[in-house]
Amino acid sequence: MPAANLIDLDDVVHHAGGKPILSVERLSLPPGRHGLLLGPSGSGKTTLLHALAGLLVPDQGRLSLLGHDLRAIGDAGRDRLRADHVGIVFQQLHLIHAVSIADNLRLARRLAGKAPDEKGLKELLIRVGLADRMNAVPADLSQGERQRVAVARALVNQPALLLADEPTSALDDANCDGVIDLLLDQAQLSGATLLVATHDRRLMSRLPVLLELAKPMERAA
Amino acid sequence: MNMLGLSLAYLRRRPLTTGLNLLLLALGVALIAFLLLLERGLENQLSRDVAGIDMVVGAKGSPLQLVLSAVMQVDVPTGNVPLAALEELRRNKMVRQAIPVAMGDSFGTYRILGTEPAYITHYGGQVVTGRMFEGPMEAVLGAEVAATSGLGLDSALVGSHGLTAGGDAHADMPYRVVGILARTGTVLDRLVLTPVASVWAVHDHHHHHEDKAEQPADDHDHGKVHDHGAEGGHDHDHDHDHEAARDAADDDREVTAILVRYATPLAAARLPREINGQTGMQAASPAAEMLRLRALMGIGLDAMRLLGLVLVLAAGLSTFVALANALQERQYDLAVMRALGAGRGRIMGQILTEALLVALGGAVLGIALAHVGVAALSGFSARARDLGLSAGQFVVGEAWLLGLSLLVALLAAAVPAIRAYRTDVSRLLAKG
Repeated sequence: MPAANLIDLDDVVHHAGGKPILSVERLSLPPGRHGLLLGPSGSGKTTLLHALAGLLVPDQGRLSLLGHDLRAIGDAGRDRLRADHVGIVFQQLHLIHAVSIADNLRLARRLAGKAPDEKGLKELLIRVGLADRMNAVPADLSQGERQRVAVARALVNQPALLLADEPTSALDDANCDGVIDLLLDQAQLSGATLLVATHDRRLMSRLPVLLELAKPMERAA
Repeated sequence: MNMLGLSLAYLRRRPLTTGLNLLLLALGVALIAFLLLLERGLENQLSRDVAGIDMVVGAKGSPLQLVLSAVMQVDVPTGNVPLAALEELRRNKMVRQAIPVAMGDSFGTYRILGTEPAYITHYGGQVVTGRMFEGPMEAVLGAEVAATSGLGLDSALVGSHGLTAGGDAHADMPYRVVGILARTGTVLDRLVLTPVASVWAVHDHHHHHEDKAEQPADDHDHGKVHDHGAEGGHDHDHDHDHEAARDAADDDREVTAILVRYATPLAAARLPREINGQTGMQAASPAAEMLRLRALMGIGLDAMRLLGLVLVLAAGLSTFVALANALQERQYDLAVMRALGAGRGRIMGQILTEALLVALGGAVLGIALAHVGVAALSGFSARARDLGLSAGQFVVGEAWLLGLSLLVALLAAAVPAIRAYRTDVSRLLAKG
């Protein structure tokens, strides 16, 4: 069996409110090919990320993840595929504030239908330097610590694909480098392929641009 | 971290809202459960007290009053009936058993009841200490009377005139305690039992005293049982003219009422009609009167139950508002849970679990409260103990209450849960 691409995408178009917000002709990525989805705001980066994660189905086009056609497998199939193979670090992190750091990670395993893995969880927290904070709640952490929790949570299910949405947009250069280091290191340690959707051109020195998006309206014009 | 743990964590983050919802539900459930328990106790006791008594014969008046006074020993009697009526009933082939009751005096808050040993046997009373009464002025104490008064065998017991506490004492005519009964959970526990002759003796004697000043020669009303009830408890204004016209023969003697057991079902159709139509007495059916009583009480109980139901519904509404607000706050959490791989059903389940947890907690708390209430009530009220109320006993209605609470919670959570189910996760996360 030939090694399947991690991502295969053909002529994907998505609309919102009657206007096109995403238009991608072609993208194919083998596993291990970390990189950037670069584009200004409004170019559909987040929409593409969500489409890759199976959180939305684009209006047109073909999109497959690890050889699975995301349109064909249905709602439950996409949930399953996301749980098994995709980790997401949101721009706003979206940690669950009601429970502790460790519980955020445990919950992620639980929601993905995976058996608890306290040993793996502990190792992951040690890797991101939060082993001593595992029982703290998100509100007690610094922004940097919260970011590390979000990365750890995205990786707790050993995904093949790690998606990060604008992880550096609000950071200075030093912190920007730190976050990219964190994402790259952790993705590599977990054997995940990192895709960063961003408009932050500073990252071009750290990761290859896999796809440059433009606003669909502008391109049409 | 399982789903239950997460639900609990969310509930803990809103202690005031969660507390309010729990409290509302618990109060509603407690009120209804308490009523259910009380009602059951009452029903049980009513049926124990009237069990096996097919008919009560007494003076004309309210049949409910007759039953309440002669059977439950709570109301004042309607009047008296001639002793001859008892003999006549006993000769009737349709009557298996006829037991006289004669009352007029009390001991503290307990009634002194003139009757026959058959009365005690009827209620399953057993003498645990001493013996059954045999002669006049011998008394057998019900279990509760013995317990609260502390009287033992051979103690003297002074009755007071009238059926309410505080009447004139018959200090010169004391009873002698010859026996104490085991607890039966019936009216028996609250009575001082003595032969009918004692009641006659006390009142003959009493009248001698009373009447000496004005009518020293009057000796015509012995054998009378005071007609206290009909005349208001302490009224000594007897109809002396009438009494004076009679002699002192046995057939002038009276009892307050007669408890009758039929020998044949046919009797139910004929005896009461005969008595009501052809004699100056009335016959009442305890079962029918208890039905009437239940119907009367029912209105009050229904109103209370309605109040409890309103509280339960208010708790449901409050839970709905709380969940709707929480959903607003937590839409990102729920979206992230989806992004982490949870299906729509899981998210919906999360919301429902939270509501059901509150419902379960509230209902269990409410039922516990009701039982604590029952325990407290029977702690300070002997009357409540009589109802056989005990904190450890549950009624089927409580399971229904639990079901009702869960149903209300399910309804309250349905709309928020469906909204969560339908959320467009991508759009929501793209916004934030």
